[in-house]
Amino acid sequence: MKILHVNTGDHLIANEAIFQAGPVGAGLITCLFDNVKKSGAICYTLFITPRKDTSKVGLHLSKSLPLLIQQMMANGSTIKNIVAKVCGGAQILEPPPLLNWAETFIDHINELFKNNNILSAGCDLGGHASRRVEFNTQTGQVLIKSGLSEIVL
Amino acid sequence: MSILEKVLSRVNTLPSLPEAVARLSKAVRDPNSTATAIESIIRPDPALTTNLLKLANSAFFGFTKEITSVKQAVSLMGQNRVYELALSGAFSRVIPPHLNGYNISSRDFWLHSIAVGVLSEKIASKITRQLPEMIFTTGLLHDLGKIPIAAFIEKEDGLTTAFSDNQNLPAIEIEQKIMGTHHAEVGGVMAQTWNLPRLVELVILAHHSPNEVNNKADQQIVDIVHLADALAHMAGLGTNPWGLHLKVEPQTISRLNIGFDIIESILTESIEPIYSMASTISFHKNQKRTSLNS
Repeated sequence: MKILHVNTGDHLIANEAIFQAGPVGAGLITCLFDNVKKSGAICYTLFITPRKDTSKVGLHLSKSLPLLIQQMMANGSTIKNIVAKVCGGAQILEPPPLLNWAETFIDHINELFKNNNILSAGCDLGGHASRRVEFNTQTGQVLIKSGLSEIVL
Repeated sequence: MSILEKVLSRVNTLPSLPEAVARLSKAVRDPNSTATAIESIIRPDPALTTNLLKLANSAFFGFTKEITSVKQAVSLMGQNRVYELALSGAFSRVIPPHLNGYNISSRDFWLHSIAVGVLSEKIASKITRQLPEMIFTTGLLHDLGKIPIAAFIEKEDGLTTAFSDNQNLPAIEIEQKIMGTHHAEVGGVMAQTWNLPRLVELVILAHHSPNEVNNKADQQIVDIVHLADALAHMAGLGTNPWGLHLKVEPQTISRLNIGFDIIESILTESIEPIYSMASTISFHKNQKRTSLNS
């Protein structure tokens, strides 16, 4: 299994890999998994929808998600087999309104998954600690380390 | 000996800035200084020259043609920018492999430092007509004080545990509680030791307390770095597990008069240049960035 490091703004697809992402602060890690094809894709975004049109797709989930789905389908997946797991969206302590945009992630994410016909298979959002994430594209397991805790989606 | 004195004694055990950087600092303040004079200071130090050229050729500066000499860098970027890059390269050499207590690797500490430098400059470019001098460096060096504190923690029994037991607090409050001093104060002293410009010292000292700065022009720069630091942590740029445990002064946002559109465009424009610039210097684990980004 190859290990691929995922930085802020990256979106990647692989058949046999472990994606390692983080630290993830207010951003979002979205993992797409096809249990039949045993393949996966991941993106590390900071926002949901761009306010202005931008040629860079990496930082906005509304742009990265359709692209990744398209790439997975080109790789042999069918849409009904793809599920999504998402984590991140932590906040700084007492954020001023300008910096609290992660608060609304959950509503937008669900809407975005629905619009792209993707089922959500788990999420871990919020809190004040950054996360490190490991996504195994063979098992679909998403291991999240946050502060002293560790959870599996 | 007080804890502050003990921490500060660690400053003297850290690698000092190369002699060339100190000489360069004087040279760039001399209005009669030439590109040839700057080159003659830097070129005898091969490591300094190499790091400077690597940084100058990063995507952040966007030069289409490779910069191959210090003289060329001076003519294209100016003396102040060359000083900033020389200082950046020298700074990268004093970062230890791991910063005890903060639970952060040299690679992530460097990435965070570069991120705050780039973001500070980007914020300044959006809100001011003329870029404040040394704005990149003020951001780059804002957490300088964490280096001697980490070295101190490593040598003192129980301090690493004391840090991890208090991780629900902002780092600066943990430091104050456990040691009676904090990285901003220690960084200010280190800036003096390194003979850094007054403004760099001030920003290091005040980057968590911008409301305490009296002079308006200085306060704006401190506000910029204060915000850049928060954005870098939020964007996961070299943050540690508890990096989001920080407070952003609401007055900073009001004073900078900045909106979400600007924040979004600052981050959108900065991420690639930050990774590009940070990756020019190799640390212990140089992970290649893999991307399908279009």
